[in-house]
Amino acid sequence: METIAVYWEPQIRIYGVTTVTGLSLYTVVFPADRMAHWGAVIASLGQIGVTFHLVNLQPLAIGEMRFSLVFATDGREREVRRLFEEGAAESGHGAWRQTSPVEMVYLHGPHFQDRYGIAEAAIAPVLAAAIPLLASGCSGTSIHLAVPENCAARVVDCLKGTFVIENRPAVGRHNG
Amino acid sequence: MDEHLPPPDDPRIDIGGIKFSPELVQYTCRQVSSADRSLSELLRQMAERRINLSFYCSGRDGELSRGTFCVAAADAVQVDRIFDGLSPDEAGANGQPWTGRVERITRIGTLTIFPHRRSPTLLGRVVASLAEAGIPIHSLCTSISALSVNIDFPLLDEAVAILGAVVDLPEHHSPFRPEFSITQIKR
Repeated sequence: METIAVYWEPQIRIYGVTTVTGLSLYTVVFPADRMAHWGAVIASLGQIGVTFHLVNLQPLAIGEMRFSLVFATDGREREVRRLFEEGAAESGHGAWRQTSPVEMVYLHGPHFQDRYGIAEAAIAPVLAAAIPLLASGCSGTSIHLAVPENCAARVVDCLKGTFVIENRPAVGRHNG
Repeated sequence: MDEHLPPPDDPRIDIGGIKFSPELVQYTCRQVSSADRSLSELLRQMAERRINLSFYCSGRDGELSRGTFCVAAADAVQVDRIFDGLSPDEAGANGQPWTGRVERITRIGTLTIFPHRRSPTLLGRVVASLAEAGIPIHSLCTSISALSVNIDFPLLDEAVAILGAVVDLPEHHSPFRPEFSITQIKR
């Protein structure tokens, strides 16, 4: 059975856009056979009370993977670094890197996961504006864009061309 | 699921549910120079052909981007045609062909676990338990409330059985399977 619903919008509507500053991006490049090890390291970050804003995992060259993790470390920077250092300490476990501060822009909208062109609408304007996209994620109904310090406001300006952003975005600050 | 019961000091984490995707194909494309606009061009052409990306994530290799995305298995032929038609020179890729900078994995299924409550504990234990059980994780990404993990499509049921040691599902819950699909068309 097929049901056709007609809906038209001149610009993509969203439920809201939020920017968060003062975050940290950790990237870990590791052999794919160390996946369980890094899963355990990430789980241990939860034990010290850290919460994430975005995590993605991508394949790199054959046999290598990369986690990109954007955290609000909330004053636990030293403990987080220690866990990553310990995680990478043994030879062959991989290497990690921290970039901070970074900023995050996220937005979500109706049926984003079922609609074509949403990822392009979010990412193309950012790339066209030569804003370095450190990490991103478009899954479910949301889009997360991690960018360097002082870039989140520029990202929001870029997105105004493709998404309906009526008000100033909600702003969060994490002093990590 | 009882064979995967957790040790007593490692309690299971309450979640709201698990959802399966239909069969997908995953592509990972890397930028070869800062002038390389191939990824943007690819996204543009997929939007133009109304191909939905149910999953997209990216990261940086130094100054260069790498994008990973999934499309419905039925759309993969069209995506392959776009790759075939893209001129590396036009896209600023210095003549480098797509072969060698695109990785394609067929028969992918997304396991969506919700809500994640921004918890590295849940995410880490999901990753560790699947990997320990020998289920390859091809990519993953978090959304505002859910964790989407891309694994081999035929292993979705086995993965849920393994995750029984990590998560506590609502009573009588079984994973949501796609019984219908939503397709956006233009009139």
